[in-house]
Parts: sequence; C-alpha cells; structure tokens
Amino acid sequence: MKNSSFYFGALFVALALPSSGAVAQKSIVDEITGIEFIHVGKGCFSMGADKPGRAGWLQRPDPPTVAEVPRHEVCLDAFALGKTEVTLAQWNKLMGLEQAESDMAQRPAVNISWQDIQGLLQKLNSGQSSIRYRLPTEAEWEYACRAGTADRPYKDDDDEGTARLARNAWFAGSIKDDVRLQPVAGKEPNAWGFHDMIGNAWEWVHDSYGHNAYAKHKLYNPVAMPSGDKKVIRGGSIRSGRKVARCGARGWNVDAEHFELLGFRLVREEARPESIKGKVKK
Amino acid sequence: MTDTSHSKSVVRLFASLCRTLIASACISSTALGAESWPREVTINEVEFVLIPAGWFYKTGGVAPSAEENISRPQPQPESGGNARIWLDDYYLAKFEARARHFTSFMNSREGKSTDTYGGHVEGCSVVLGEAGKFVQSHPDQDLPATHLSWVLADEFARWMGFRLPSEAEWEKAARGSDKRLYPWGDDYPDETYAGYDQSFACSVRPVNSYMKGRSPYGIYNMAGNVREFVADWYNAEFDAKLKDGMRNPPLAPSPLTLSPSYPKEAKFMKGGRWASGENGILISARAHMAPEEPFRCNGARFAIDTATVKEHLTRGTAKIVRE
Repeated sequence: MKNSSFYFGALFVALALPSSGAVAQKSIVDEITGIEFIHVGKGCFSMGADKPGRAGWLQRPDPPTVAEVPRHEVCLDAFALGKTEVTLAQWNKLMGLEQAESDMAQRPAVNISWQDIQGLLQKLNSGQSSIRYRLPTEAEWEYACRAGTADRPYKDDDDEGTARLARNAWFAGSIKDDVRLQPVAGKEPNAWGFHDMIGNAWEWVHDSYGHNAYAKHKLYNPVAMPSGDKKVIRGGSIRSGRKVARCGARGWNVDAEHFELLGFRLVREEARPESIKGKVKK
Repeated sequence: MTDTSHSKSVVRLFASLCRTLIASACISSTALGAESWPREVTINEVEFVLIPAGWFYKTGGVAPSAEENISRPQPQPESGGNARIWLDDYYLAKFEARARHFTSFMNSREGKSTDTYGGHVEGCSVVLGEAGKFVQSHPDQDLPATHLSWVLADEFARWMGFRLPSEAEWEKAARGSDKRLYPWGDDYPDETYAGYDQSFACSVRPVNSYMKGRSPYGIYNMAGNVREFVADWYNAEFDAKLKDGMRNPPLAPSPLTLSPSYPKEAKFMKGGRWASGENGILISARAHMAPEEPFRCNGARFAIDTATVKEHLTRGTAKIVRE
C-alpha cells in the first residue's frame, strides 16, 4: 500500500496478528497519545437496510430499525482507527489527570461528553505536529466494525449467533446482571483487529443524529453535519441485547451528556501537504 | 426586581382589576397568568418547571396485579393515554427529591418516629449516622432520597414548602400534549434513556442523569431511578369516571368500595424504579403501597401551586431561572 507520510520522532510499526481469514492490518502505536491505531484501507460497503424489521406493541422492534433505512453504498478513504476504546489510563494521561486506580485503568474511559471530547481534540490538535486526531464518522465506525461482514439476520432464539457474538463482545448475552465495564481487549478482536466495537461501552462518533440520516448520505465519506444537540453513538454496551449489539445499530445521546456506559475511540490522521479534498474535516 | 418581573406584576395587577370590574368581559386570570409565569424558578434550592395550562391525555383506569403490586397498562396500541383532561398552570420539580434535602428534613424531626423511613441502615443515599443524626452516604453524588413511605414523602414535601403532585399533574409533565408511551417519546427503552432493569440493592443514579430521557418539559428521570409518590389514593371507580373534556379533576379519594382485585387501601407511585422492566417505566404504570410502608425504591418529586410561586416571587424568595 502506498505510504509516503512523514513521521516525527520514533514511531513503532507493528503488524497486527491476523485472526482466521483476516488480512494483516498495519498498526502504529502513536507516540503522542500512546494509543495503537490500525490502518483501514480505502473501500466501499453496503450500509443500512431496505426495510425495517418487525415491530410489536410494547416490544423492542426487530432489527434493522427505521433509522437504518435505506440501504446505500458508501465509499471511504483510508483512515487509522484506535484498536480499542480509549482507556481511563489513556484519558487521564491526555487530560493531565491523576493516574487511575489499577482495576479501573484499563476499562474504557466513560462519563465523557461529546463536548468534552471536542475539548480534548482541540488540545491535541493545537500543537506543531502534523498529526491530527478526531472522532470517526458513523460510516467509518461501521465499516471498521463490519470488517467485511454483514449483520447476521435476526431471529429470536439464536444460540449460535449469541455464542459467536460472545467471542468478540461483552454484551447482555455474554455476562450476567448489573456488571459495569470490562477492561478493553478482553475478547477476541474482529477480522481487522479491532476490539470491543460491539459491547462494553457505547462509542461517540462525529456525526449528528437524525432518524433520516441515511437518505441524505453522500456516496463518498458521508457525514451528517451538525444540527441540534444529538450525536450518534455506536456499538451498544455491556447491557445491550442482540437486537442492539450489532454493527448496524444506530444510537444517539445528547452531546452534553456524561454517561457511565459511553466512551469513544479516535481516528488518527497525518495531514498531507497536498489538497485534502474528499477527506472528512475535523 | 427586574423590568420583566415588574411588568409581570403590572400584568397581574391589571388581571385582578379586570376580574373585579368587568369579570365576564375579561379573559380569565388563568389565561393571563399563563403568559406571565416564569418558565423555570428555583425555590428553597429546588428547581421547578412551569407546566402551562392545557389539555393532555391521562391514563385511564389500570387494574393492578395484586401479586406484583404493579399496574399493567390497558392495551391501547395507538395511544399512551385514555382521557383528554385539562389542567391549569402548575409547577413540577425538574428533579426527583434530593437526599441532601431529605437529610435536613429528617434531622429536623427530633422526637418523631422514623418508622416511616426504611433506610436507617441500608439507605441508598441517607443513613442514620453516629450521634443519631442522619447523614448522606454519598455526599459527592447528587442522589435522590430513597426508602420513603407515602406519609413520609408527603410530610417531607410540606416541610420543604411544597406538596406531592396529583397523578394527573405527574402524567401531564411526563407526557406533554401527545400520546407518548415514555417521557422521551415512543422509542423502546434501553440503558441510555433511563435507569431501569438493574437488580442491585441500590442502583440509584444522580438526579440529573439521563438527559436523553427527559420529558417534553425537560424534566429528568420520570422513568426509572426512584419511583415517585403522587398525592392520590388508588381508586378504580374514580379512574373509571375520568372522561374526555374534564377540567382540573380532584385528587382520587380513598375508595369506599375497594377494588376486588386490589383489596388493600393504597397510595401509589409513578415512573418505575431502577429494578423495573420496560413496562414498569411506562408513563401509565403505577406501583401500589400501603401509605405507611417504606421501600428502598420509593422516592418523591415535588409540585407547587402557581399561587405559592407568586408569593415567593413577591417576597423575592424565588429565583427566576428562565423567564
């Protein structure tokens, strides 16, 4: 893959270990943040659904939801995404806070609002480095979550589906009761090496939330522009059942909300001297 | 006093003059009042939201299940309520009643029995500390009061200078003017909307949690967290008599003939609790209890009349947060 970026300082380049059927993904441990980012090559995928699933009175509707209509093609430029949710240890270091207690340190950093993240990003992006950080777009997040797969068609009693999901995800089917968060990377990664895309903590993405967002998605690098105070959250949490614990599920929260099951992961960009037309702006 | 509150006083003075002189020709003082009441005020450290006069859909009679103490909503696929009722202006607290204020209240009652509180030892937010004083168990978190009984909640509200809401007042503040099932709308709940489906002894959250689950009036945690006592008695006959077009119904009185399906004389709570399932946090849901019986998930939310707000505004003891 063409790679003509200019590196500052010492960066560590490692090949992620491929899981079965996976393509080896280049990853780097970013010097400034200490976060490991996995490179996702440019590509296209099918996002959304033709029609929503069955809805019953006082029941959670079957996936896909109305907000996932319509099905549409999306093509994305390459991007580098955090291998895990940002941990409490990483967040505290980036924010200049005290070290977290050891049993919390490797859990996802939560109780962080989307606005708090913007504050962090401003801080990180204000330096001399040509490295820029941002939240993934909703489309980028889903592309990395799918890692070339499609959502399994939903049916109520699906022991096999539950068992498969439980290999990669902390969700309601894999853990009992009112347990809060798990340390990151405790389950197998997906085919591209990402951990906990589904389950554990929900993850903020960049896009504003609208029910009808997919009808307005552009083909290339779609992103829903700011409107209102709702932002998209993805991936479900440790408390999600199978209807929500899937790559296609769309959630939202108020951008000022601090929620105990909601964190984030970052995208790392190396700004190039030539035009960045077509790239998502931060 | 600011210019705006001065002009409001002028409006109110005009309204009362109008009423006195040309009663039938004037619009009612209530209607005038609706344009002049501030949208949010803080009184005695409690934030209140104006619920302006108007129609709303009130849940009709729901038959409780005697075993579970929880009411099941009537099957109404197209609506979340059953009777179109009018309420005049009133205020409802933005947040559940706080542990912080409850602590002060309990410590003011020296000599009185505290049997109507259930949390002396196992309170989720307020416990009996050393030297016989009640203390907050988590003073760093803004938690609601828990382990209440109805009689204690009622006494607490009055001590604060407020009262408990009627069920009608509670539901209007939760539902707004449409027929929604939950305070946020009809979207099926999950853990991002409200604190529910959590089975620990004290899965209680700060009163300002779950912005996403706010009601149309911006009121927090009407679904889940602690259950919230209302002033009414449970009365199935009263429920059955609610009809479209009624204005300002009275509180449901203690029933003369108790419902055969629920033979205990009962008060009830709204909104569900941290251990409720999805149906328990419907706007229509009720949880019944004998009035003096405390329980861990029982909390309260205050209401206040516009007349009382007016007194505070005149005396300068109400802080206007939003005009």
